[in-house]
Amino acid sequence: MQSKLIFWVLTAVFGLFILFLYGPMIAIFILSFQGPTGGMTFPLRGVSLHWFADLFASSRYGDLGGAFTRSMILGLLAMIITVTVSFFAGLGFRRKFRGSGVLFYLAIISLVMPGVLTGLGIGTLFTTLGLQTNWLLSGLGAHLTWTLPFGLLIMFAVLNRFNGSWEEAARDAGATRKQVLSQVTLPILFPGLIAVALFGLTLSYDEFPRSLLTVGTKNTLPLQVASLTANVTTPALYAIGTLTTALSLAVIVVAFAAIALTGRKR
Amino acid sequence: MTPNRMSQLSVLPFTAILIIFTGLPLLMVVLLSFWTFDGLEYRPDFTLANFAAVFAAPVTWKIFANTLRYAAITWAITLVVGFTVSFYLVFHVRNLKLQIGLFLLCTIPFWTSTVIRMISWIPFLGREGLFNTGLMQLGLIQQPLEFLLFSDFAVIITYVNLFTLFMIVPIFNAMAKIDRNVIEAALDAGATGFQILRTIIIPLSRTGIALGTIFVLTLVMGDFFVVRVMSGGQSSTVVSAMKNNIDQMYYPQAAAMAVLLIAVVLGMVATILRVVDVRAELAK
Amino acid sequence: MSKVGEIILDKVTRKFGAVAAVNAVDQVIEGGSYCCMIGPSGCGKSTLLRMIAGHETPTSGRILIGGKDVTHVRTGERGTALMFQNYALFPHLNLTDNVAFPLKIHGVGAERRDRAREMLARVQLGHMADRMPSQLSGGQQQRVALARALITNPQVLLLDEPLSALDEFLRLRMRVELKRLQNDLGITFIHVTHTQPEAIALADKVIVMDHGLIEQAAHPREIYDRPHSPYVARFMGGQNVVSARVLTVGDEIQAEGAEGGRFAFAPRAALREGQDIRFAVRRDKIRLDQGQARAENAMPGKVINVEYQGTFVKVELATPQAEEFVAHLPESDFFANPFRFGDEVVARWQPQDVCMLVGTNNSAGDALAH
Repeated sequence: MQSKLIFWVLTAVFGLFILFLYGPMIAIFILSFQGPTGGMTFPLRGVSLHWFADLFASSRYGDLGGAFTRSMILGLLAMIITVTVSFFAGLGFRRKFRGSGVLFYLAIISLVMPGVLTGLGIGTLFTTLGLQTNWLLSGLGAHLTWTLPFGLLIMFAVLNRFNGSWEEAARDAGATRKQVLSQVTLPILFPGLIAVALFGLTLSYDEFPRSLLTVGTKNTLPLQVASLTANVTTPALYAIGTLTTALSLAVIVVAFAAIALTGRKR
Repeated sequence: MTPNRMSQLSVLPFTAILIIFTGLPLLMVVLLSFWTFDGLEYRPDFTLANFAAVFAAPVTWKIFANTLRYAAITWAITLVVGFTVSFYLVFHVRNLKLQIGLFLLCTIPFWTSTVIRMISWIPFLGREGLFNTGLMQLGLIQQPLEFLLFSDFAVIITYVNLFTLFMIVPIFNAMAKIDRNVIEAALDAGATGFQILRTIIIPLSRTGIALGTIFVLTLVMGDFFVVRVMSGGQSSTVVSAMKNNIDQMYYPQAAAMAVLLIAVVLGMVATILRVVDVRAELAK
Repeated sequence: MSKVGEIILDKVTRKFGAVAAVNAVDQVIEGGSYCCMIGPSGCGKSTLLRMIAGHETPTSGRILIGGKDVTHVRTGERGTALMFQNYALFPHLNLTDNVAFPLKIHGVGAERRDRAREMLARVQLGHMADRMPSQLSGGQQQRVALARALITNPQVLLLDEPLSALDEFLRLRMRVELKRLQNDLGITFIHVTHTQPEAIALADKVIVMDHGLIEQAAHPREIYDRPHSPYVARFMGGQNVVSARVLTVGDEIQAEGAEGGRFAFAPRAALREGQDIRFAVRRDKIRLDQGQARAENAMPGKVINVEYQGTFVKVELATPQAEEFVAHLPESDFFANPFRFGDEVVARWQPQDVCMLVGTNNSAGDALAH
């Protein structure tokens, strides 16, 4: 009796939490289809694609297309580097080695350092060295300070379920180090690496505080959107939100489909 | 090649990137905090003036207190909500597929833009937002509630919305690893549901709680954007004040404040890591 | 009359959906006895144990412990203690606190640690009281689990495959310790296992289960020597099961095998002519002769395997009946007159060594897997 009651109370709490989590997102999704005369809040005055069209037609929103392209390129680069680098880092961390403790703490610091401060450090480091900050170098580096520690933590989780005797069996069969890596380690860990890729791409694509002082003169999409929040007072802001969220969701769907597909082959 | 060398070689790219983009910049911030600013540009020096100025200003203590207040309130709420949600998913949703599905439902927003999720609250909380119109239509209030938007309330609710999943994921993982037999053994000893929660589940979830705490505290303490937008510029935290300094080129002062903040943040993280051996638990 | 530790199962049923994991089981387990429940996986023995412990509630029926109906009494309050298969030690508590946990739950104050340490000393782990469970070997963990189960002085100790995680050597040693402990404490032990020698060695009463039903419950000698059904005979081992059709009934049953063999034995239940029956003959009661001469109470066969077992020799035959047929020959007899692979032989036995199988459960259990 009592446990039934607890179950239903907890179910209700969970439902409210999901509503709290998604409600606002759904609201701006609906509001982005506001009619041309509509405002930033309910009620809807007609349903239209007006504000989406406005994003592409008007110059009021700055270089949105360029910002999107840069964010996409950064995201893809960060993804490739994060997957490769944290894969090898994860493998290296399976054993204790000289300096492993220090490196682990450096990764933790990288993760917990307030993003703006990381940006401040990278920015002033570049200026001091006489370099210009730009999105492809200092910007990318700043993103990696966020995506790499995450990648490492996921690799820890993935390698937890990885049995070292598989590699031993491969070596036993005469495989070289390279063959062990390409024939055994990599294929077995592949679904985990897709998860790392998902994190690398989306964390970079949505990164905001670290980018602030490191991308130089050209904005990424989140920076552009953040600057628009100050002066755009039309549903166009929501239209941007709907578009980037849809893109993020598409990436998640693709990633999960890939994990499911590679997982099923076994 | 020795195993030691192999491992070091394997982590080399990781090490290099983190040293260049985290280690050196961190060092740079520390150095910068000792440099001078003459009103036009900053240059190398060794002065304690920046720290003196930061310590002397009463506003420093105010914004530190404010930052810690935000962090503490957000932490408490996200902990309770995150623990409850994880507890529900792990111990009350029996169907494993449903459990994983609901867990993913909780984590999907993690992969979407925080900026967008933040501005999503504006149409909800404004004077003519959904809450106010809803409450007025129900006849519960006559006047729109003013404290909803551009207030501490708005800041906290946004933090909770953005950061609760950083609590859920690690706590869920820790709870999912609890051996069901251990809980049955406690039942067998006559423990009530509440006793099991207190003596078994909470202690065995402590790694997750510690990790979630680290995430939530550092995210709140590193934020400036939410507090700037959602408080309508009425409230400031360490990073938002620092951002103002940076905008006015007071880099060394900002750096001094940053060093102070980093010391506080790392101190908290180190304390948590000392109490809970997160790395050893992660490896389980 | 003392009823302490007596367990009465009254039409106990547990359904999962449409499937009855335990189906209307009736049984009385005497207080202070050592009872082993045995059967292949999925036979319902663990579910039954968990119902006695209170981790499952019967769909219908009653469970009485010490004369008291505990069907709906909370686990932990019914005088039972369960020792888990994987021990289920609390990973965040040291040994003392693990063992003291049930006392803590029952509101015992600071003295609980002393009592826990005493109990640990009793299982020879007094010197490790401050260790964490992860620092122990499997055998040590098991003794801690035992100590934790016994700390509340239960009337009934329930053991769920307690020895299955141990290696052969430790298993035999712990078996002795369990038996001695039960003797010392005088409380009821209910021990679930899927290992036949374990059940036979330990129990005062063996309960053989299959598909949610009790197939036979008796002293191990009775179970081993007089199996109730073909299933029990096969599952417990040591028997050959032979199929035949009844020819004549009377003081002695005459029957005929499909391959033409003639069998005679004492009846154990009413039979009619023409009925298909099965009977069991112990492997150690079989004698082998070279050749193909037909005789009563004999079975022709071909030697397909010979294994020397130290005290006896195990000879396996392929017979016209599609069923494993094994003879255990005394070592000296065998080597005086050895058989080889491919030898044509006749296996014979005495009518008094035949045990007619009354029950109809003809499943193979998982006996062949052993």
